Amino acid sequence: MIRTNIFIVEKSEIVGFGLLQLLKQKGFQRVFHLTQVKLLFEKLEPASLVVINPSTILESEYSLVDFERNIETFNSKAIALLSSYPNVELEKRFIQTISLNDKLNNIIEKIEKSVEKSESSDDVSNVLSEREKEVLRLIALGFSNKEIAYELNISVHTAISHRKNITAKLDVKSSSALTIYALINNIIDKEDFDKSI
Amino acid sequence: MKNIEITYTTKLAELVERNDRLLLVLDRFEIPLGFGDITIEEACKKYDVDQEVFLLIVKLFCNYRFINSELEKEEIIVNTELDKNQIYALIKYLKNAHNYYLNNKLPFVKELIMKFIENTENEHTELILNFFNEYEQDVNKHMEYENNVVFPYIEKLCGTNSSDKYNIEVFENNHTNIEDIPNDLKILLLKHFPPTKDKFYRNQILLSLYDLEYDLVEHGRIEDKVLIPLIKKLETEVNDD
Repeated sequence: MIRTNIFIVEKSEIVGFGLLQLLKQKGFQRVFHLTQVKLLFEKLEPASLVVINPSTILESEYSLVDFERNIETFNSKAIALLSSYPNVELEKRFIQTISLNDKLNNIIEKIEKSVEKSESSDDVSNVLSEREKEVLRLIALGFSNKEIAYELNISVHTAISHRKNITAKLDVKSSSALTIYALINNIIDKEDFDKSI
Repeated sequence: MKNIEITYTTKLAELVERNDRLLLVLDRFEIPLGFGDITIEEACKKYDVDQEVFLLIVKLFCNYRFINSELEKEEIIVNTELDKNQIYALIKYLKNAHNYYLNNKLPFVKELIMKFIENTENEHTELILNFFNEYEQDVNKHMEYENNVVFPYIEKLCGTNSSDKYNIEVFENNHTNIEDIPNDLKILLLKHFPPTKDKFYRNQILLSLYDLEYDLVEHGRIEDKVLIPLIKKLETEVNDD
């Protein structure tokens, strides 16, 4: 029984549903099929594995960089699901690729290995990522989650997730304490801060 | 501290030996120090304290952070069959606790912070003081509301049979958490504020904040787990009459 969340993002109902059924048969308990990247950003949970057809990203309003940031924010890993011929440049951006032509055992093996990786990737260092520092700066300047989402062009869900990660890493909850942290560590400077209040 | 058997014949001095934070509880029941070898029962008689209420609060206080087990939830429900006079006693206790926070403890922590600032050359120390001042104002608002609105309402409810427009659910839904800020301040001084020349006052602030946190968690629990359920029951009784 494997409890890691696996999100399959594939436009084709047949392919997505087929892969979901195969994984469930093999003992993966929590597998979800989504047809759009947008839905993934709404539903993604920390330490998940995402199996995604890269064309769903290319056809969406989001860029590959947006996608990678989201994956990073949620401390997750992504596998490319390729329906056609290999694309080396694209493959480099994923930890693994599976092709529709792969043998079943091969697919399962690759997914199992990736699940192990996504489980072991728990970020134990409490150092803020560059993106988190950016979010923290905005929190310190008094931005709401909604305003942060707008400013950084991310969803509110992602902004909230950033905030959660930041408070978990720093171990303080209130905006005032986060602001003091930001000032002490020069994430915002006193002048910007004074202007904001 | 866990699983201590406390009965009416337990001596006050033993009680404090077992959990020194109970000093604060004795103070709030207006039992002065210098009590010799008297037992809980004798002390309650001498200082006109309701024994049941005293024991309930002492036990709650000793169960700090163990509240989540089902057993304790049951225990508290069993214990909350207090009558109106006992509710008065409970409110008196809570008012004394508020007085302690507002007029003693918070000003004391603030003094320590000022001493820390005096002895530390760091441009950011003022932030700590501002943060604390903001917090003090919040606690003030929180407790004044309880003193001026909630407690008089309960006293009225106990005294007469008329029910007011206010009800305890309003309080329950708006009862904010005031324990988080001392914790944030603690973490800032413990983990994030750079090393300072002064260590003494910084440590004293931290020790005080640990104290305050323990105390406030208990205080909130008495209000949420004892007072609110009691008043809800009382409200239904009054409305049924």
